[in-house]
Amino acid sequence: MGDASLGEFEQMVVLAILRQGDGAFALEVRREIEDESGRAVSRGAFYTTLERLKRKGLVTWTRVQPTDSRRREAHRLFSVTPDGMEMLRSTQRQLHARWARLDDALEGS
Amino acid sequence: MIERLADFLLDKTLPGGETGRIIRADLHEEWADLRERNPGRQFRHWLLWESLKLALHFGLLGLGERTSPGLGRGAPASFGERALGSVVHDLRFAGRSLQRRPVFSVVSVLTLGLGIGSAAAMFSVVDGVLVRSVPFRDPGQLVDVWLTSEGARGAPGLVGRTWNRLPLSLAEFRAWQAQNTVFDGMAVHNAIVTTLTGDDSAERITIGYGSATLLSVLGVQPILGRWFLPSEEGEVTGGAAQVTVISYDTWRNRLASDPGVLGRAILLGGRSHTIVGVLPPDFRLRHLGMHWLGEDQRGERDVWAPLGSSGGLGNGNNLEAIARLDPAVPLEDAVSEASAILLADREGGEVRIVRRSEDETSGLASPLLLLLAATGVLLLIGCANIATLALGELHARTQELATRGALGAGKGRIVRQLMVESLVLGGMGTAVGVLLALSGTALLVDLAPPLPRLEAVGIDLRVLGFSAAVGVFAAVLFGALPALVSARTSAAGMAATTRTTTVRRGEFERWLVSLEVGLTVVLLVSGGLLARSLGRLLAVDPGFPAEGLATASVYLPGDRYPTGPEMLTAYDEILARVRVLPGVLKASAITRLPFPGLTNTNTLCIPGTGGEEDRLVSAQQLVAMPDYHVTMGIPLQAGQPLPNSGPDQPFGLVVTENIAQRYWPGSSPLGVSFRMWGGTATIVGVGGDVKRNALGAAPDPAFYTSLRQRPAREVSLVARTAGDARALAAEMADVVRTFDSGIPVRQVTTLPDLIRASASQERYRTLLMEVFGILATALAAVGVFGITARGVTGRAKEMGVRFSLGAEERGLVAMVVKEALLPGVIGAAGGLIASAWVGRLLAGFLFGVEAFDPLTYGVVAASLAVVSLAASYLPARRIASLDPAEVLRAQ
Repeated sequence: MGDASLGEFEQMVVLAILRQGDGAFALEVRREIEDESGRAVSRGAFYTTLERLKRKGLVTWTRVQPTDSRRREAHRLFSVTPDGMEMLRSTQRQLHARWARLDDALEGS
Repeated sequence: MIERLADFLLDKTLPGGETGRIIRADLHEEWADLRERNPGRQFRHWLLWESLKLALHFGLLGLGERTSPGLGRGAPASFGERALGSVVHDLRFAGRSLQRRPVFSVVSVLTLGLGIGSAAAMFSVVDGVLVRSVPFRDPGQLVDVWLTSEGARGAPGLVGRTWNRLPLSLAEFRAWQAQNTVFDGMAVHNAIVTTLTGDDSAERITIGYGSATLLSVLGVQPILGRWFLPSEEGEVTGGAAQVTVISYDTWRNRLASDPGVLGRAILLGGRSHTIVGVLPPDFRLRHLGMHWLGEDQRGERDVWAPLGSSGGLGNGNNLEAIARLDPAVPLEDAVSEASAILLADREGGEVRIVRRSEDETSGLASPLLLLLAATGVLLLIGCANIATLALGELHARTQELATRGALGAGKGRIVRQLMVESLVLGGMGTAVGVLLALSGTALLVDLAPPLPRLEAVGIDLRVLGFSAAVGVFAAVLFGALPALVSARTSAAGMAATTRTTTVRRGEFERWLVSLEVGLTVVLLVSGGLLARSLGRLLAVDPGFPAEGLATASVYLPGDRYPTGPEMLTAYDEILARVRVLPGVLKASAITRLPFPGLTNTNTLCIPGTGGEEDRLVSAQQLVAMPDYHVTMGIPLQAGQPLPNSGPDQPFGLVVTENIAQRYWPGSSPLGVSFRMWGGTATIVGVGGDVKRNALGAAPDPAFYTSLRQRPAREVSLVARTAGDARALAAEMADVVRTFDSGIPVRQVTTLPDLIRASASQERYRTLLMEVFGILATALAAVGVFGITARGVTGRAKEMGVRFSLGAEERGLVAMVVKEALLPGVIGAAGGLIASAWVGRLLAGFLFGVEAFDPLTYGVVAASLAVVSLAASYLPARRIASLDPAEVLRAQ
């Protein structure tokens, strides 16, 4: 993975999954992001990002049978993989590093 | 419906497999939550909107994401995918760009939707009526066959029309069938009205008579049972089997779609017929040449019976022939063989063979195509309008486009971007247009006069394809000009040469507004001419004052009223009861009332006296009560009314004035006697001419005999009231039913309604043309408004300077209005010239109005002047609100 890092929206998704913990179903994760960021999250972009994170092996899901009689399709309960955690940390480090280099400049202003 | 649409969108775009299913399930769960939290609301539009967004994402944008180069996801994109990706990029960009300009986008989409919607709705009618084939096998091979009669050529009125289209007799049909070598098959059919007797009621229905070959020639299979066998066909003299094949509607409505209906018996004309088959739902065989059948009788047959059971119908020339042409045989060969067979025993005349599809729609093509052309003009006006708007937008976007150019976007790239924006607008306009066309088509069908195959009209894939094609065409049309203007200006020079661009753009805009106004004039003049023509047509005197005349047709069944005296007693009693209804002034009866226009041509043979030749007078034979002329208000020019005496007395005839003038010019036919119906007939009176079918046609020659002398089973009661004729018609029907519920009553209506119905084609095209004209005026007004408004804004600096130099506000407004009006005046002048040309095309549709009718042209010019003045004055007034100091500072 080296220097790879998560995009902004990817970070938001991964962080929301982590915050939701045991209840990280898609609907809840999306609501969490909307609450957190204070803006509407495009459903399409959200699912596409989840798919991409899964493809990269950063998040995974387990199927949970619905308890609601109205729903027949399984829910996906999301969790962040060790690779995902690693990527998140690496992203954080990169960000810090970038900011650190700017510390002087920022303080000077 | 909305849910299905949402599902459809998701079906088409969501990724396959579990992911797609889960996304959909999540969406539905949220939807269910929403409804739960807000009881009583359905949130269907929310569902549709969310589905639409998902569909857009996964459909278009998902594709874009997959194909965007350089992100290293999945396999590298192929060249095709990259090209597609760049189109998708253009589309996304266009979407955002249009979103930033909501007023322009909404106005453009609505304008375009209006144009495409009208065109698509009109196209669906044209397609259904003129293009779509009849529901028979290989309809292109089906032909109608008839004879013409040499002697009747050029004869006036219905006589000429009827005899120029002479159907076959049974003997002719049989001979033709026996000797034929060029047709794959041939059949004959005709129809009359008969009584269907139910358990406790009787109704008049149309019965068709068909040869045993009819269904095989048409290539149609009954949905139940079979068609008639040759052995059941019978002869002129009778001998047909008492069997019937019923229409799908009869089966469904009168027999409750009984699947065991075969073998059941129904009473037709008092005789029992066994049902042997049921026809498919779309089976419709119109009679095209039978003028003695009213419009209501020409359409659908409720039941069918073998030819021979028609009781002598095949005796005369009254069988309409339809044949299936062998594809290998040219039409000319078919004509020559049929002529050799059918004309063998005739003197003169010709055989006419015309393709069924052309025959069915003859006379309909030009008015419908005219209306389609009108919608095309409307669309063109809409396009011109959007082009002026887009040019205005281009000015506002100079900065943006210049920046893009400076950043390296080539000229081609910018032109392409503008074209993609137009196409996006075109796509959205098409969507709106299709939605409008859905209701528009239903409206057009509702308003339409009786047209063949109207039931087939609707929005289908062909109409959608047409709309899409029109949308793309329109987008190219209105998108090309702004794109060209931007291409002409170099990217770097764009910012610098704003002034020149503005001038050029202004020129284009003015030309476009001229075009809009000109096309609007053409539509308005066409609508105006048609309206004037309709007014003239409806003002034509039919030969009697129709206002206050009510009618109802009755038929006395033979089993209840077997003899003439019994029929007359019944008529007298019914009429006596009608006469005492409140408000009734007079009441009478006749066999064939005008405007259903049913015909029954007969020839009077009047022997010449003093060496003169015999006169053969072909005329409509009508049988009426003696007070018919008085009731209808038809003036009696000379002599006496019809006699009250019985059938044992000499027949007294009343002839129409045109007969008297044509055959007895300068003298009087009164007292002329001749042999007729085995007795003597004397002309006792001359009555006024009466139009029978169409207000625009010449009155047909007719002679009347007295119902008392020739009792008829089927008559139209007619009564005059000082009050509400429609109410009276219903009361008359009640009187008959109270008198005897076994007497079927039909055509309960009023004479003014019948006359109006006779002009329904004219009314239809006038109404549509006027609606198109008004829509066009609205669009043109928007165009004039738009250029004036932008003119004022664009010249704010100039106005500011003029103001500060002491110019009067009123003078400036006048100047702006004058400049805005100029393109309108040029357009109107061009439009009037074009109208004179279009008027020539319209001439065939006009009645009593010249194609160059000064009044119509004047009114159109004046009303457009008022509209343009208002449309330019309103924005020009904004000059008054300009603060010169403010304006100059802003510059």
